[in-house]
Amino acid sequence: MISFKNILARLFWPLFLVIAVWLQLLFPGVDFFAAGIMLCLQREGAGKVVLLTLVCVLIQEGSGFFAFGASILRYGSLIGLFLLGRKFFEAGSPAFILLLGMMFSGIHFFSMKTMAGLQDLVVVDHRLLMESVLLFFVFLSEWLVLTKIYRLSLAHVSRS
Amino acid sequence: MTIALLLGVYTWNWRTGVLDAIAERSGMDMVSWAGWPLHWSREKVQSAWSRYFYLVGLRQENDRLRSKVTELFLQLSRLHEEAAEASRLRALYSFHPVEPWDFEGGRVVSYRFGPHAAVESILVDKGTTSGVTTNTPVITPEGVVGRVLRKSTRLSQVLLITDPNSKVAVMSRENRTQGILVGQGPSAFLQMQYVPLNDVLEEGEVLITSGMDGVFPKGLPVARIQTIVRSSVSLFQTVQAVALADLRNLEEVLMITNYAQPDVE
Repeated sequence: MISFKNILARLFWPLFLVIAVWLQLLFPGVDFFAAGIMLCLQREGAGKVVLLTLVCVLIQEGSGFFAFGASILRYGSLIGLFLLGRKFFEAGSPAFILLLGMMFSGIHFFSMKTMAGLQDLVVVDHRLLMESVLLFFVFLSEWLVLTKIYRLSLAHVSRS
Repeated sequence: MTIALLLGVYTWNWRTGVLDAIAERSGMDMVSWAGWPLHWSREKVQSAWSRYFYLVGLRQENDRLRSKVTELFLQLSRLHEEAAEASRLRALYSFHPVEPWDFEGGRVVSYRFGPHAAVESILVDKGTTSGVTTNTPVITPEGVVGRVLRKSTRLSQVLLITDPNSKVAVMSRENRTQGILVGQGPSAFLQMQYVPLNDVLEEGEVLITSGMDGVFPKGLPVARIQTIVRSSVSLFQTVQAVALADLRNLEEVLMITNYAQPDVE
């Protein structure tokens, strides 16, 4: 018999995607997918990470204004930094996530500037800077909330 | 190695647009499906609010609208005369009349969706199934809003005229002075550029689309001139204007789906 926790385990990532889209619809210019990718990296296998990242890339690229590549650069850097940082830090430690969040918000600022430059687009610098700082706080707080929910509902079925 | 691969893919996509097309179609449709329950519930709440709670002050609103209707009737009868005169003159000079525009109404779903929306933009719930294409003009009854930059089957991204990347060919309604209206970012004035010092413009004058950019049809109201500075060190006037449409509080917009740039032969 399928238990409630098993249903939750199956629906966790689809629900995460839907709620992240809702949050992005409600809050302009903010990324609500990055924290989910981070949690997926920490708790799930490579297959799920690739699938989740692919869906996130398609959503961000399809609804953004840059030519294809900006989200690959951003999420690729996040995954690369995580894999690199895992060799030096405990992957689940809040200090590591804090450091990663800071680096990710810096990457966001510079990658957006670079992609805009490549396409000859003008971006409002002070707003981009503000949004990069906001991204840091959103990334941290969302990761904390997601980790809590994940632990409560999915710990028994997760890989780790 | 990874950077070289990324640059290679980026350049290939820049030339062919294959990945952009895939992402545009699938990504925006995913947003549309995922966002549907949110729009549906928001619509229901809004309609319940307007039906049951917003009735306060309806009588005053009714009186105000009645007087507005009377005023508009007077304006309409005057414009009927002018339209009839214009038709006669057009026939006299064998001008081809402009085709009436087809409008498609759309709801604003979101403002600057996601971290990649570095430009001033809105997401509208109408896409290619409703006849929306790239560069479809988007307006409100008050004035021009912007143009469609990306579209999927059920959603489209609209670049607002306040964005620094937006350029609209305009002319003043009274003096017919032409220029290019450029956005300066959120909550900043629009700037009308390339207006020679000797050209006549007045503060308070309405700027309308001139149709010279091939994107917007001629005659749509866009902005009202706020300040004009004639500097002795520049060849051009510095003209600042305010958008006529309330771009910060957009809920519904109209998209002109049948406008095509007239052939120049």
